[in-house]
Amino acid sequence: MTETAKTLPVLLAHFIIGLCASLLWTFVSPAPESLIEPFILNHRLYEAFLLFIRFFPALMISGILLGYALSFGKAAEDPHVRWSPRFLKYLKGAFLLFLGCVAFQVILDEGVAPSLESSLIQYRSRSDDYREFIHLGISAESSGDYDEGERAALSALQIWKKSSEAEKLLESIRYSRADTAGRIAEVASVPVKPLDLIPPGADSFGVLELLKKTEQALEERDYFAAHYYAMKAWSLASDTDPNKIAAMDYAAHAWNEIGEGSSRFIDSEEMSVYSDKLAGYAALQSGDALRAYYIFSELQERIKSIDGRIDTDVDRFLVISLNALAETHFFIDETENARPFESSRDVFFAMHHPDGSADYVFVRGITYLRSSGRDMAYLRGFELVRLEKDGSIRFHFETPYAKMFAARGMDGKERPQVLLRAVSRESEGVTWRPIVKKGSPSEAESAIQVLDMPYDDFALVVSANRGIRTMQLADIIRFINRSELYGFPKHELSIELISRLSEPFLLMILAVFALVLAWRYRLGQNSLFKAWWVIAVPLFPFACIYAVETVRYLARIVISHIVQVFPSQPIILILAVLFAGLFGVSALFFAQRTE
Amino acid sequence: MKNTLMLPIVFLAYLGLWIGVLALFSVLGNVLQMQLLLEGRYAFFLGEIIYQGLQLFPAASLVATATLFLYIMRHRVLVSVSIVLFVLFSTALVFWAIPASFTLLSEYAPARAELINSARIYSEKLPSSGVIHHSLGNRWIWFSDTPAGDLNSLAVVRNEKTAGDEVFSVYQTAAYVPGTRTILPDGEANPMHALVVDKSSFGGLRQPPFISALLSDVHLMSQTFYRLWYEDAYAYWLQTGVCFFFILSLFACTLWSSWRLLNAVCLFAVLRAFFILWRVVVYERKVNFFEEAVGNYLPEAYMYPLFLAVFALALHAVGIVFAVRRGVTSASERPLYD
Repeated sequence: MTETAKTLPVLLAHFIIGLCASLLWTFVSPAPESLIEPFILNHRLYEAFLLFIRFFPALMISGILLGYALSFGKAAEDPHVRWSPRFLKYLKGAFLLFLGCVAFQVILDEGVAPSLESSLIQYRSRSDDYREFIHLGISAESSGDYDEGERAALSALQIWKKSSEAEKLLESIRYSRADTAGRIAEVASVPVKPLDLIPPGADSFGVLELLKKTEQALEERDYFAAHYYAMKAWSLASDTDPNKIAAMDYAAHAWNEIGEGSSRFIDSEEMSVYSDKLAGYAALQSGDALRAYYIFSELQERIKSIDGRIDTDVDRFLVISLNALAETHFFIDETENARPFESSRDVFFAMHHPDGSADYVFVRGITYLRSSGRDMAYLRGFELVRLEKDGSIRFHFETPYAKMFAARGMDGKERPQVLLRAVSRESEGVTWRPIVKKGSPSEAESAIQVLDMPYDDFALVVSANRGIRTMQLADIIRFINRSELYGFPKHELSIELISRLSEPFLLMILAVFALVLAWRYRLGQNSLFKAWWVIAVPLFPFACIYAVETVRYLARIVISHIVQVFPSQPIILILAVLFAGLFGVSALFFAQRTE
Repeated sequence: MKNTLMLPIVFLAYLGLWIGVLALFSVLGNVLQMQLLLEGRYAFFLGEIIYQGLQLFPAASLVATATLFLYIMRHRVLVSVSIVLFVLFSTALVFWAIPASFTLLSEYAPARAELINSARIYSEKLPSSGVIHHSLGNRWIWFSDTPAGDLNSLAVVRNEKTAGDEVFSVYQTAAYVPGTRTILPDGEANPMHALVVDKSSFGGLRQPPFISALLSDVHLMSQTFYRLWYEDAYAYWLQTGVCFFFILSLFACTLWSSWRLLNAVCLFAVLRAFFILWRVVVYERKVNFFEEAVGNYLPEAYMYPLFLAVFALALHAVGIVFAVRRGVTSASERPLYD
């Protein structure tokens, strides 16, 4: 049996005992006070795994040190001279073992740890949210704002489904409301509207197809549709296109028919519906999608109430107006359940523009969502400060919520488009608009903002806000050259990147050095392992934890220094030093001998 | 015999090594020194290393004496000669080398104070504009700064919101107040705390807590010895003598088992425990039961070092028992592992 094979059980025992000790430690230590019950078990488990991942290198070094020190005891019975080929044999086996361990460590560090850490953050922030919702619910109930209180209690129940505290609060609020109103409140009155109600954007018909659609609609005497398609064809056609005149002719014809339509109705209700339909259509044509939406929405309800009838014109134009509205506004109720699912908080970054001006952006919370195949995000407490070239503040505004999605620009690149205005789904006039704190943004600037950054960079900025040390290696590599545009110093990312890349080398150097120590302090040739030594064995992992942490600390200082002194190509220099270190420590192992 | 004669050289090498290691870690734990190092101001850095080396000389000499046991664990040395050498090293350190380091420290102190002042003035500069800086509880960014040190378009994110404060604030102008390391935004009554030292530059370079704890203990010990030397030389000799007596008792660790690796790890563990014990017993004087038992018979200055000496005696006794069981005689050569 080779020395490596003899070491393997000791190494595995270290990992198993290390994992068990991590679990024991997190289950014995008190959980964070703010954490709510449903998250405690997972929080403890994830913390234990993170603890294990953190101490994995130390366990590995300790396992190598102990395992090889025991196995070298027998091997050294034969005399070994310096530079003996037998040392090469030992090192070959050891290198395979070390590489396996280091690869596993990299997987744990870069693949497992970031997701565990982000889950822990989620558990803590959702626990805080739960308490905030309960507090909000209680104060809303005492101030008589039962709708707000009920919303808060239901949000708390979304986080902790079986919370007796939230259930009691909800019940109490409903009884209080019933007492006040003289009737039992309706259950689940909080609208939980699907967030994907808004259909996708405009169609992609060409001029000829639109004219065909117009002709078809005229044949079917569907004059609203005919006018709509004709106007769309007219707006799409170029000035030299003969179809532009044809489109206008069709539109005029359809409009005349629409105008005459009202005289055909005798019933006053039908006349009223027709005239409202006309008003909605006119609003849609003039670009007032918001007004059109409310008209068609009200009309649809009204028509439905007359024997459950359906008007296809109204339904179609409601969808069209919704599509148009979704380009400039979002609905307030879309954000009602967003907060408990926020994945990031207090995101802050700058955007430096090529003309010398800059924006500061601050977002209190971000909820990501995928709806109808489209990624979007709700930005709570979105604040934007625009600075002129000379540094003066052009404007500073804040919105309770903003909605962000990717919008393709003229250059074909996707940028984050932020809708700043929200409206009520039911009541016209209830709106959220940006609150201007300084300066005076234009109407367009306070309606939609297209952030001057690639859409993918937004996620990187959010990730950097959580802390550069928690960023994934791939994200650091993607972000490093653009980080300064967003206010994140490049040298910090360089230090982090190089530290991460050098970690496996450092572990290899430490592991080979442990091999040297294992040889020098191996078990005596005539000695047997005594059972009572086991009492002192736990000292080894602790000593290795100190050693690994010290080496990491010193390495980071050296890396930081090299990055500051040689900012252009620090990585080559550092890798050269690490290779030299690995070579040196391997040579040191070959230089061992039996005393 | 050759290995035995190498002991003084090895001891001097270990002494140099430990002075360097303790001084380096001590300097690296200081934010100002770290900034100077990262900016390539090596003169300040080396000047501080020398000062810290002199200051930590007593603790470093104790550690060097203890680590000499590692050498005798790996090499055959004559026990009788080794014991004599160990006693000689300890005596020379207590009566000559450590007091000499104190004299050098006193002479170097004014030059060091000047160095620190100039380093502080040098560090009194604004971190760069356009990037987010982290300070205690806040994140900062400003668009540009004027030669007078005023900040243009300052934005602040408060990590911990206090009552009445907004999380995010923007100011058209703000003044940097030199000397106090604070920023006074326009319209604010009180300056905000802001570290001038750009901590974000070395985020993640925080010293591991176990190193800080060890450094804190060795600093306490060295400073106490320094104070005692100038206040009461007898008390100094007693305290340092007891400490070296304790360190010499660590030879018991070399005989702990027939596995050198286990002995080496135990040696370091006991050495670390010694510094903790010294802090708890001699510095913090948290040994009420001992005070009650012997408080009436002994003066205070002798009581606490005596407690440590009792510990050392016990370890010496354990060492002698181990040595007798292993058949170690004064004429024999160590080690007895194979």
